[in-house]
Amino acid sequence: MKRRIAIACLGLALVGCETNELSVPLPIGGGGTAAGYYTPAQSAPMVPYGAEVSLYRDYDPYTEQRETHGVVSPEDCYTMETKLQLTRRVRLSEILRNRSGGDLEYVCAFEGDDAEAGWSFQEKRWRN
Amino acid sequence: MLTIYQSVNRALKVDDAEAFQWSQLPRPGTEVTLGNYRWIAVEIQPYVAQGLETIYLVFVARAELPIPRKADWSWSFMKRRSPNLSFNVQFSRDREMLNFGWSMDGAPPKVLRLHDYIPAGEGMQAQPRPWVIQEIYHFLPQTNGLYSAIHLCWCDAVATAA
Repeated sequence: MKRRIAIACLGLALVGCETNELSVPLPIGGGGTAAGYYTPAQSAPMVPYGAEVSLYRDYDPYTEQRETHGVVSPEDCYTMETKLQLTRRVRLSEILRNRSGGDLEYVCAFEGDDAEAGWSFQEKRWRN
Repeated sequence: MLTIYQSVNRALKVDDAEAFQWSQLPRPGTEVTLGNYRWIAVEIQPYVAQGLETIYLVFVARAELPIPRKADWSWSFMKRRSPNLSFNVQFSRDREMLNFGWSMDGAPPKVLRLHDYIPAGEGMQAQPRPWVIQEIYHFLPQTNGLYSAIHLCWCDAVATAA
């Protein structure tokens, strides 16, 4: 049985579902609702009250030793790290989605003594 | 309730590989449509924080393709290279998803100001966005999860320099 469900999801349409024979364990329990979907049996606010909150010192990307490169996939960041570490003291710190469009959909952030602040470079040559 | 969908299939455009919803949770093994593709929910991992709604990380596989072995999932590669891998996602107060990323050492985002990376000449230049992370909440895997933590970041709008 298929059932179409309209859900606002930040530009991505989630449409109905169909149960199949695939057996995958669900690690927690929950209450049932529509076929294929359910609402877990718990309720608490997502915007919390007195829960753990951390604020961290911000970076200035133009002055601190943090170097960024655009890549096609997250895995490319590791390939780039391996190659950079042949000659420079840098380590992969973060991978970010790049919203700017184009093929370089991810940004690798490197830190370390040899990381250069200010500019990030398109590094298609690092792929493959 | 925040549900984060991540594709286990490699070589997808980023907007097809990730989705975020504040709504229902699919049952494992059921089919969903996200973006341009139909998917099967193959695994669900809850991440918890005291006093907060659980975040559910739902791994989905392309419905028309064989489900890859877990060792071949796109994120498994990152986990092997970065055992403390964590995920972070930034939202505005009205729950607009602003960006997301991964930290190799499990830490929350180190740069609180959100940036775009704009092609400029032969390179890319970081350009500040009018958003800054104000609060970060740390969710830990309830069972063995892919990530050491999911960091949920709430952002406020700030003025940008002229």
